[in-house]
Formats: sequence, C-alpha cells, structure tokens
Amino acid sequence: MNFELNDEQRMLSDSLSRFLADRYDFEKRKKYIATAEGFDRRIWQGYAEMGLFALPYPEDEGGIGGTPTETMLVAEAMGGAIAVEPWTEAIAIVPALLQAASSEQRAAIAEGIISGEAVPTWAHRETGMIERDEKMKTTARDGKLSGAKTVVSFGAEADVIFVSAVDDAGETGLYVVRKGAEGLEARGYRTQDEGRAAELTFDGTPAEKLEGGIPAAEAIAAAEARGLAASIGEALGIMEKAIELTVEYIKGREQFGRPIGTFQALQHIAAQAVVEKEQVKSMAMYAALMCDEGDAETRDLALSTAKVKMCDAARFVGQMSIQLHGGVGMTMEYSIGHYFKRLTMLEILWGDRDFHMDRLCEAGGLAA
Amino acid sequence: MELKFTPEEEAFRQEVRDFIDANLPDATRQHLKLGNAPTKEMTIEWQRTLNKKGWATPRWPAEWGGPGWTVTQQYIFQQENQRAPAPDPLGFGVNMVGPVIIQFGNEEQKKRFLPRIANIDDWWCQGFSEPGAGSDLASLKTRAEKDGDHWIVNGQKTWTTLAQHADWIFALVRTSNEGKKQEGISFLLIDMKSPGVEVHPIQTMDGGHEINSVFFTDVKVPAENMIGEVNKGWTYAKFLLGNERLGAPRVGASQAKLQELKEIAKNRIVRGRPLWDHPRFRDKFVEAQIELKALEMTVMRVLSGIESGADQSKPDPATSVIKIKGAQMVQRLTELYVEAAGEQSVPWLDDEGDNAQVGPDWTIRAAPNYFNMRKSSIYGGSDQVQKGIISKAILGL
Ligand SMILES: Cc1cc2nc3c(=O)[nH]c(=O)nc-3n(C[C@H](O)[C@H](O)[C@H](O)COP(=O)(O)OP(=O)(O)OC[C@H]3O[C@@H](n4cnc5c(N)ncnc54)[C@H](O)[C@@H]3O)c2cc1C
Repeated sequence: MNFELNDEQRMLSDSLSRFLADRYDFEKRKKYIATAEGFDRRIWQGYAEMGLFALPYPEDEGGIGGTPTETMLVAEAMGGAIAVEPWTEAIAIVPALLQAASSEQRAAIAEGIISGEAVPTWAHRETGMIERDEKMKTTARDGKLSGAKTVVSFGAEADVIFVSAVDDAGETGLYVVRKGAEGLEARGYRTQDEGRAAELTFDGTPAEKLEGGIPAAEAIAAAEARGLAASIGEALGIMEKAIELTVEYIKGREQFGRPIGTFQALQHIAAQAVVEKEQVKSMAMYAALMCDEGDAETRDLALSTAKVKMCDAARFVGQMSIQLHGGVGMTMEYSIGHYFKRLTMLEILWGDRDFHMDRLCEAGGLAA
Repeated sequence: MELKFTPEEEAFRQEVRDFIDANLPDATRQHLKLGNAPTKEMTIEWQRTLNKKGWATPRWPAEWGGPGWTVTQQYIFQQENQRAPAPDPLGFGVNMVGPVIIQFGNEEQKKRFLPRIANIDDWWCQGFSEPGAGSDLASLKTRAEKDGDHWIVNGQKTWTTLAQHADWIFALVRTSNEGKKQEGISFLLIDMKSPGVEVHPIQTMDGGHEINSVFFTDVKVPAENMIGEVNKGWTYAKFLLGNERLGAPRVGASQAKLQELKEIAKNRIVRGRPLWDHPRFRDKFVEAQIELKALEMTVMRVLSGIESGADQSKPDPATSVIKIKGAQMVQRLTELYVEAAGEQSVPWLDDEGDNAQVGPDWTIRAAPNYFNMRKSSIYGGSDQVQKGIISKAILGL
C-alpha cells in the first residue's frame, strides 16, 4: 500500500500548478473563453511544451510513460483553474483509444497530438445513446462514416476527431476524421461550464480506421474508464479550490459586526465540505489506481464506486460554496459560480450517479 | 379540522380554472411551461386581466379592491394560477409594499398607490439589501436627510430584483444613527425616475439579468412618501418579510412541475426503457411528491392560523419553516430536471441561439434553472438566518 507521490509526480503537479497560476487566472480565463475557438492555442502549446500530451505514451514511442496517477495530478491542477480545453481527451481518452492501433499507426497519429499542433476530441455519444449502452447508429462503410454524434467537446474546433462507428458486420470500430473533412458538419455552441461542444454529422466522411491493436470495443471501454477517472481528479481540484475560495470569503465578509466565518453554523458546513472532499481525494486515487486493472468488470465497478462518491460530494461542496458566499455567489462576476457550474457538469458527464448506481447494483454491489 | 374542500370551494376552483383557461394567452403558458421566467409584458398583461376581474390582489381587504376571499380561496386561486402556469401577480407590489401601505400607510398613500399596484401601472422593486447589509439588514447605510419637506437620499442598494423594469422602489433608509441600529431606519417610497437614481445590471451565473445595483445620489424624495413614522421602518420591514416568506413555497407551481416531469420521464428512453420505469428515478420522484405534500399541509396549516385570527401585524416564526422548506422544494425540482436531462443539459443557449439546442425544449432551461434557484435559500432571509429565527423565536435559545 502506498498513497504517496514520488518526486517526479510532485514536480509535475507543481510545475503545472505554477503554469496555470501564471497564465490561467480567472481574468485570463475570461479572455480565452471569449475567443472564437473558445480557448487559446498558445496555452495548448504551453501544455505540450510541459510534456502533458506525451505523458501517457510509452517512452519508446516518444512519450514519457506516465500512469493514470500522473493523469489524476494533471486533472486536479486543471480543475483548480477550471481549464476549459479538451485536455481530458488529449491526456486520458486518446491514448487509450490508440491502443486499438498498430504501433506505427499510433505513432503517426500521436505525433501531432504530442507536439500540441493537433487538438483531439472524442465523438462517441449519440442522441438516443445519450445515457450510453444504447445501440450506436453511426456506420462505417468502405472507409466512410455516416451518422451523428452529440455534445462532442470542442467538436467544431478540434483538428483530429476520434469517432466510434459500427461496420456492416455489426463490429464496433474506431476511426479518425480530420477537421474540415468532406461530409463533416459541425454545429458548435458554448456549454454551461464555458467550454464549447458541437453536434457533428458525418455524411460519407472519409476516415482512417484504427487497426492492428486491441479490439476497438475494449479500447473504448478503457478510454471511458480513463476519462471518468480523470474527471474525478478534476472534480477534486475544483472542490479544493471552491473550499479555499469560500473559506477566504467567509473570513473577510463581515455581518453583525464580525466575520461570518466566526459563526459556528458556517464553520460546520465548511468543515463538512472538507470531510466530503477528503473522501473524494481518496476515491480519485482509487480510481487512478484501478484504471489499468486488467479485468474490465473489476475496473468498471471500482470507477463507478468512485463516481457515486464524487457526485454526492460535488453537489454538497458546490451548493455550500454558493450558499456561504450569499448574493455574490450567484453572480457571473465572482469565480465561485463557475466552479459550481463545472462541478455540476462533471456530475453528469461520463455517466451520471444513477447510471453508476445501476451498474453497481446489477453487479450485486462491491466485491469487498 | 377538515381537509376536504367544500362543494362551494370546489366550485370556486372550477371557476378559477375556467377563467384562466379562457383568458391566459397560450404563448405565455407555453413560455412558462418551458421553465422560463415571465417577461415584463407577460406579467403586466396577465395581472391586468386578473385586475379587471377583481382578482389581482387576493389578500387585500375588499375596501382596497381585494376580492374578499377566505384564506382557503386565496390558496386555491394561487394554486390554480401557478398550476396553469400563469405569471404570479408582481409580488413586490401585491404581496410586499401593498400590504405595508394597507397596514401602515395613510389614506393619501392608499388612494395614490394601491390602485396602481393592483393594475401594475407602477412596477415596484425592493430596495432593502446593500453591499454591506445582507443578512445583517439593520446595518444598512443608505441615508435619508430631511431638507424642508423633502428627504435627500444617498447610498447604494444591491441585488435589487427587476429594478430595470421598476417605476418605484420601496427602500429602507437610515434616518438616525442614535440608539439601536434597528431604531434609526425608515421606510421610503422612491420614484425611480427621480434625478440621481441609477440602475446597473448584475449578471447571474446562469447568464440572466434579473438583479441590479441601484445608486442614489442626492435624490430628492417628497416627505409624503414616507410610510408610517420616521425611524419605525424596521417594524414595517419585518411585517413585509413575513409576507415574503409565506409566498416562498409556490406549491401550485411545484405541483405543475412534478406533473410535467412525470410526463417527461414517461417519454424519455434511458438505457432501453422509459426513465419513469427506472426505480431510482421513481424513488426520487415520489420522495419529492411526499416533501411537497408535507409542505402543502404546513402552508395550509399556517394560513388557517392566520384566518382564525392570529395577530397579523407580527411575523409568525412558522413562516421561517415554510421559507426553508419552500426553498428546498424548488431547488430539489431543478435538480430532478437536470438529472432527467442528463448530458442534454450541457449546451448553453446564448447568442448562438438554436445551435445549442440538442434535446427537447424543456432541456434548455434545466441547468440554468438549477443554478438560478440556488438563490432561493439565500434571499428573503437565508437558510441560516431562518434557522437563527427558529432558534430564538421558537426554541428560545
Ligand atoms: C437572486 C437574488 C435576488 C435578490 N433580490 C433582492 C431584492 O429584490 N431586494 C433586496 O433587497 N434584496 C434582494 N436580494 C438580497 C438577499 O436578500 C441577500 O442576498 C440576503 O439577505 C443575504 O445577504 P448577502 O447576500 O449579503 O449574504 P451574507 O449576509 O453576507 O451571507 C453570506 C452567508 O453567511 C450566512 N450568514 C450570515 N449571517 C449569519 C449568521 N448570523 N449565522 C449563520 N450564518 C450567517 C448566510 O446564511 C450566507 O450563507 C436578492 C438576492 C439574490 C441572490
């Protein structure tokens, strides 16, 4: 048993936090999200230069050989800054999807992503499949895709789109589509948490199939597990920051002639938030450690366990942060509402609480 | 004790229902059904329709244009109006400043303001909170100084709901710095068109514009616009806040929302079957119904106490119970909508308009309403403030 980080992991976490403190404070974030693309490619380049995108790939493929623990640390720092870019896709999802490719194909596709030139995203969910598990309708025939995907993170802006589709034999496959490809249409919009997403339609869109690695369905399940684990790390980072902001606020805000942080009623609410957050921290680590578990069912149940815990804590910490801020917590101007909104979206994404409870209950609960 | 409505009351309910069906514009009903707040025009149009019928001010005495309803009838009316759903009569006028004028105003003020409140010829807003005076409302600093037959007002109010529409503001102002801070507050009616009044918008986190800051710089207010006695404003304000809390639950609106949510759940396929058939969802739904039933009974119990003659000039601490539970109820419903919408609540509908619609119409407002309704445990006396009142006034702690 060892929950301690090693020196390299600590360095990674510190340097990313410094980078974000320097270049991604709340005021700068406002500027990035107001641009046409909804994010700043120079920041993306900065992530690449720090090696974030190389992290998950093996060293012999130009990567750094990081584990889901490193991904969790990155996610936690990103959560603290409520960074909006599709970094989850780049760091957690795509490397898992690329397991379906041969090592040559993987190296060729990953190159542009590692260097930061190509922003990737993951087009998987479909309307009707919005709650997962329902049949996929996007089809692949003769190397061309037809169908539609919904709520694709930065789907109109991303350069490389990883798409799931079924072929004539009913086999699920993974395909890569480039931005601007023939027959690809992207209807982009902003999201509640100030990122961007898009509805994508494919109409005979040329695509490159990932081949030569593990079966696509396995790669997809692994990718979803990694995405979920990363989102728990991100939620942890958000909760830590939300508690910090709230405590800072109630120390400074005076009513009835004293700081409201001196009222025990508020102290106990904030203290409860810390209790919940600490549990999430443990579960974020658990999720990271279980991410690469060979047995898919064991892995998925572990992740569901972590997610349910995260959902409960996210709601409590998010709501209490607004409550303790009073009126200012309701405003667009203050940062706390933005943390709350992202936390709310993380409750929903990667399978909501009911989905994961169902999965656990159908399995007869945890093994131990 | 009797729970059943009498045949007369049932007939009254039918009359209200028929009237609403015949007169409520369909566009308004659809707009509200989708979870939107009513526009200014919708509120005005509907309140005027009600006023023509004599129904805009259910709780006012007949002398001032009230319909002379029993508390039960008032309750039935409110429930039906919210259930339609139709816009509520503007609370700042009808339920807040109106009753204060009736209870504490002079004849002149009653004649001048009440008919215009009923017909919403004047849109009123509430100028209580200030940047430094929220929960600790009595520490407010906006000053009014006497200058001949005028008051000169200087200061800032904040979080003022719909001040951008307002013709008038009822404000708590400091008229004395002596003695206890509660004893130096007065209740002043201020024309928003007076020189020196400035309204600045505040955007809420859901992207909406419903609150504002209101600045007063040497605003001249005629002395006759003061309610009651100088330095007695705190008493009137407490009376008003009691009424505000009583209005918090919106039971009829919640009933309508639950009904709609049930329809939504029946038609929404999640993991191969209707959401309605998922036990986990059904549990949450029924729990919400149970909470709402208990709230409804509590509201009726308190109203019946009022009808049987409880002292109306002092706020009843039970209104704090209602305020806490009422806020929780509306908040819970917004959570259930987000849970039903799932990932389809992710898009943010703004300047890009229709681009962002990915699910059925009701999914658009799911997340913004959830964010927005966090306000209901903050305003009108926060949850913590209500618990403080219960601790003192009910428990004697
Ligand atoms: C959307 C919205 C609309 C509003 N509309 C209006 C309006 O139209 N007119 C108007 O006058 N006002 C309005 N308000 C203001 C509202 O009444 C205040 O926000 C409220 O009184 C709380 O004050 P505050 O925001 O200054 O928070 P604070 O008083 O600073 O409270 C911050 C936190 O401290 C807690 N707290 C404070 N004191 C104590 C204590 N003694 N013990 C324990 N906890 C405590 C509170 O519960 C809260 O959690 C509105 C507010 C909102 C959010």
